[in-house]
Amino acid sequence: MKLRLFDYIALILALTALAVFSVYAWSGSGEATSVVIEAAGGEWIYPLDRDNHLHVSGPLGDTEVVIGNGTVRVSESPCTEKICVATGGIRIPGAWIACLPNRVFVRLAGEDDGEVDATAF
Amino acid sequence: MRRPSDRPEQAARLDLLAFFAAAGLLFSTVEYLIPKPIPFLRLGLANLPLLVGLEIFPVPLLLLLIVLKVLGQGLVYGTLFSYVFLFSAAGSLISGLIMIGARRLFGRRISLVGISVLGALGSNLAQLVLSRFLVFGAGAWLIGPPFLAVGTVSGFLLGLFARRFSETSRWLQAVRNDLRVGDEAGGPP
Repeated sequence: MKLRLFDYIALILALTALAVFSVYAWSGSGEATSVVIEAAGGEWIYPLDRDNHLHVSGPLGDTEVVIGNGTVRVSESPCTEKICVATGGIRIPGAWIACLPNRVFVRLAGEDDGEVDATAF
Repeated sequence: MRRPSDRPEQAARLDLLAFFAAAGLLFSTVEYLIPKPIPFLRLGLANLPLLVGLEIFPVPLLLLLIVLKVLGQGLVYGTLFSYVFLFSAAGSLISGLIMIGARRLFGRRISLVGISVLGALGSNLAQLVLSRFLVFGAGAWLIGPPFLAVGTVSGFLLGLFARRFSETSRWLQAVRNDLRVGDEAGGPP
């Protein structure tokens, strides 16, 4: 089976898009400094450099968020798929972990990302 | 099974379309059953009937097939009334339009392989853009590279299979012949 001209062009286009996204996503805009957690019950900000073990409550129960070694991850969650747990640790500013069933959203904010006026922890 | 040429042209095409849509439903179910360690590892199996149908059905019926595919996936995945459905529907619609357009624009210079890759690219980009602006914010771009990589590979493989099937399937050849006979016998194209 021989590929035709625009088959190759389509592939090149797709690979170009992939390259563009890769460069953009991994260019790393500074260091992540804080963990922002949004849940049904409220919004919290924690520093990334302090180890912490948090229980975030949502409609299904408690999602456990662990901050340590400059990363944040979800260690346990009452959802069925456990995609949030499988995501593992994140450390790049802008990266996020979400548990949609339990309405928990964890993301990393850095220097370029989401200025915070004050933090309380 | 009744042969399409026994019945009026239009009804025969609709019959065939219903069969293609049902095949799409089957593929959606099969894909649903495949365990996914990571949520965005979608194979896009349900695109196969659409790819093969590109050279059989007129554009209005192709659009109908896209709608049926989207509804079928929504039913199987249980997401019919959630926002996830909107993402998937938008992706499928844009992907389908791109595939139809590519076929019209490039004719013999593109095969189902390229069409499938373009369709996958369109669907994935649409979903990325939507998730960036509607749900996740700037962090959505981070999922871009693996998402696009998986989509391109699966689009390519799907296109290869669709093309091979289209070229070698005797069932499909019989279907095409029946439709052509029906065309010559008179009636709307």
